[in-house]
Parts: sequence; structure tokens; C-alpha cells
Amino acid sequence: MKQKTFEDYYVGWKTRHSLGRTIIETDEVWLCNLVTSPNQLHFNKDYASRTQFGQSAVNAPVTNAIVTGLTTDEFGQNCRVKRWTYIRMPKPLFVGETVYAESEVLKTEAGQEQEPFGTVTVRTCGITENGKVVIDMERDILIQKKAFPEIALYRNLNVE
Amino acid sequence: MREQTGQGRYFEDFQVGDVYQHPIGRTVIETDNVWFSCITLNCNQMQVNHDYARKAGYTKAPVSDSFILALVNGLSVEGTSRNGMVLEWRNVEMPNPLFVGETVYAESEVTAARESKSRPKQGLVEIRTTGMTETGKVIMTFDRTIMVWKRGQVPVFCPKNDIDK
Repeated sequence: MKQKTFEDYYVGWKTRHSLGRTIIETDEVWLCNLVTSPNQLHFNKDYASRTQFGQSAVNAPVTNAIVTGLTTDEFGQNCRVKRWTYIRMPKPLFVGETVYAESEVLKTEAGQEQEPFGTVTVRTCGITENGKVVIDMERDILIQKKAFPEIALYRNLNVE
Repeated sequence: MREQTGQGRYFEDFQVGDVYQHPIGRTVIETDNVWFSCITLNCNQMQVNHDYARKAGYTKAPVSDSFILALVNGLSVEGTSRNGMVLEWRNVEMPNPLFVGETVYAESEVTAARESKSRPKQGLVEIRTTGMTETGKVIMTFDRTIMVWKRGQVPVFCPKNDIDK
């Protein structure tokens, strides 16, 4: 799969990422417990049934990780996330739902000529098969410029 | 004596300016990074391919950013959003990379607390969380808005014991 470079992106560029992911119970429980979150909304169905959701829901950072993963068909090998400007959780994601990702470029910034990467500001939404938006995030992504070898993207990080 | 333990913090317990040192640290192992990346289809090989990472100047592959966010958030739930849920993160920054074998801790400061207009049984709290390693290296900072239940409003979750009947 040929990866794009910084120059391939422009303001208004949009895509629906190619993969979807159906959430299973293990995602909900194991990934929440793996990151040591003791919020039992995610792994105690008895407790969750008494909340406004009526059922247990996927841990929000896990939703973020799954949707971020779905975007790596575009923002994958020669990209690095610099920061998340915001991550909003409009609606919860439940087991059995299938989530897709859609992205739009909001801004591009080439920076200095000798820098091997440009910055692309991308808004990504995670949307279920029924059109429910479960996550809305904006990221600044560093993307390698065409003139530089791929590895150069990472050489400017705080490396030990 | 019979009592319920580990209730967590309610909305009334948050005071602006409070700083919580979250009680648990978590040493990151290889499986965390590789499995979390693969299960979430995050195929950026910078996270899972040590050979590739060495060519970029690292000694080994750094840990996935998504995992760090999930872990630092998870560590900060105890003492903050245990009786609630997160609504939004803002300004998620990653000043330094994290590597397998390092231990992650978290610390949070309450920056705002206000009533919820739409949900009278809950309140909104804003928190700034810092994730750091055992050497004090800061690996992540973010601001978070959480919705927390008020005292006495949390859904009852502890089942009655048959002995009480």
C-alpha cells in the first residue's frame, strides 16, 4: 500500500476509512481492565444497567484507540500524532455495534523547508453502522514530506 | 462491623486546586504495547517493530500513544471519574516517549467544578492530569471534563447478602 506524503493532503480532503470494527465483549472488558481503569460502567453489567445507558459501554480511551487504529490506512506508517486538540464522546459505544471512521483535513502547515515533516490538522469521527457518532476528535499529525526518507520523520523526537 | 469500601469521590468532594496523586503505578510490558496496537488495528510499525525503530534512532520501539492515553486516563480514574464518566479531553500532549519496562504514574489537579444544567444528580468537573514515569519523565498531559454523580445518587451496585435476610 503506497503511503501518501504531506504534499498529498489539502484543506477539505475527506475520506471514509476502509475498515470497520465490530465491538465484542472482550474489547470492552479486557481493554478497560488492561489500562487499569476501575470504572465499573465498563465491566459490571449489574451496575451499568442502573445508569442512564442501561447497559455497559466501551471505555472512552479504548473507543479512541480503535477509531485511531481505523485511520491508520491513511495516517499510518509515515505519520506521527503530535497532539490531540480535543476528543469528545457524544454518545457511548456498545458491544455488538460496528464502528467506522471518517476524516477531514482542516489545516496544513508545511513549516520550515529543512524539516522532514509537515503538520496536518485532521478531524476524525467514529460512526456506527446506524450513523451514531461515538467519538469526535481533532489531531495534529506530523506527516513525512516527499523529499525526505520515511525514517527522518522520527529523528526529531525527544529520543533518549 | 460491615461497611462498603472504596466508594470513590463524589461531585461534592472536588475542590478547585486539589491535587490527587493517584495510588496505582503500572509497569508497561511488551505485550501491552504489541497487543493493544494490533487489537486496535494500529499498524504503525514504529510502535511494534524494534528494527524499524532502531533505524530511526531509538534503542527500541516506543509505546503506542493511544495506549499511553488509555493507561494514564485509567490510572487517574481512581480518585476522579470512578463514580462518573468522561465527556471530553482537550490539549492532549506527549512531551516525551514511553518505553516498555518503564512504570507509569498519574497525578491530577482539579481546575473547575460546576453543577450540570441537564442532569441534577451529577456535576461537571474539569481536571488536568499528568502521566509520568518513575524517574519523573512526563509522558503525557491532558485536560479532561468528567461528569460525576453526587453523594447518594450513584446507582446502587452492592447486592444484599443472603446472610442479612
